[in-house]
Amino acid sequence: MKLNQYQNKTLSEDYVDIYYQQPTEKITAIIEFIERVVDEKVRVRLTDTYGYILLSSIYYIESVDRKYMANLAKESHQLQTDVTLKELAERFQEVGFVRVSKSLIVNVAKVEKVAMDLNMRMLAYLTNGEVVQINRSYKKGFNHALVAFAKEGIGK
Amino acid sequence: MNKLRELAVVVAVAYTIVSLSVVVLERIQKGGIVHEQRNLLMQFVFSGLFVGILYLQHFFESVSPLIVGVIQLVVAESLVMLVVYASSFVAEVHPDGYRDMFVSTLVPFVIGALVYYGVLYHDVRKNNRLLKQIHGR
Repeated sequence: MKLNQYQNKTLSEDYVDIYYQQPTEKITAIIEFIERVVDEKVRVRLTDTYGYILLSSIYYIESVDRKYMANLAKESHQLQTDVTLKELAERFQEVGFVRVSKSLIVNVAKVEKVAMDLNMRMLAYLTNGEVVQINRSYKKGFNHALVAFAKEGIGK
Repeated sequence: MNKLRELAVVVAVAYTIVSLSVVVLERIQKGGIVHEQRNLLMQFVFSGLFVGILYLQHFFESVSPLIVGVIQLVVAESLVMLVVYASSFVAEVHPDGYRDMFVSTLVPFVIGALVYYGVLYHDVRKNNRLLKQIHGR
């Protein structure tokens, strides 16, 4: 397979074209990889197979029994990854994820509001109606992340 | 700000070391200490107890701060009463001693709780303003 690369500084947007005779396994894998990189997708375990979901569709990622569950609006899938939650939080920080407790990172884009309860805890209300707790030692990091996202935007 | 905090810590530690050293040296030289110096030692013991109790909150991250605060207050009050009771064997305790120590322990906890509530309230308001800004982009 021939691979051509061209640099053109006058382009307003980068693009990738793929030419093929037949959509072979190799071609499909390349397309999937590029889609994953471009659209920020993550690999998850589905019922009897594997698939990819958009990072932006995840509300929060929770560590349960050493497995990472990506919680979407209504369903959740097990993430296929070997990294720790700390590394996941660092990796996904630029797309809006922030760690809010020892076992949970939340997508700020899905946080509707925060409030405190009678027990003096800070809670994050998500747009799907779920509520997650922001633990004391992660509150400062959460506050700083919001300031940064408000200033620079998510994904910048 | 960090340098200022570092400076405050150094001043606090130096002051504690100097104050305690003076009490110990006078105890060695004169064979006894005056009432104010005994108070100073008691304050040091109570400060150590309170700071130790407050530091325990890091182990109860998932428990409500209000419940942790109440438990810390109960533990602190119990220890203070125990120290006052123990000191009654070596010195006479004033009739209001237990009540005064109870109130003296309670006041900083109440102030701490009010400050915590105020900071949290401020953070919530600020975060909601930032979230509106983020979603409005």
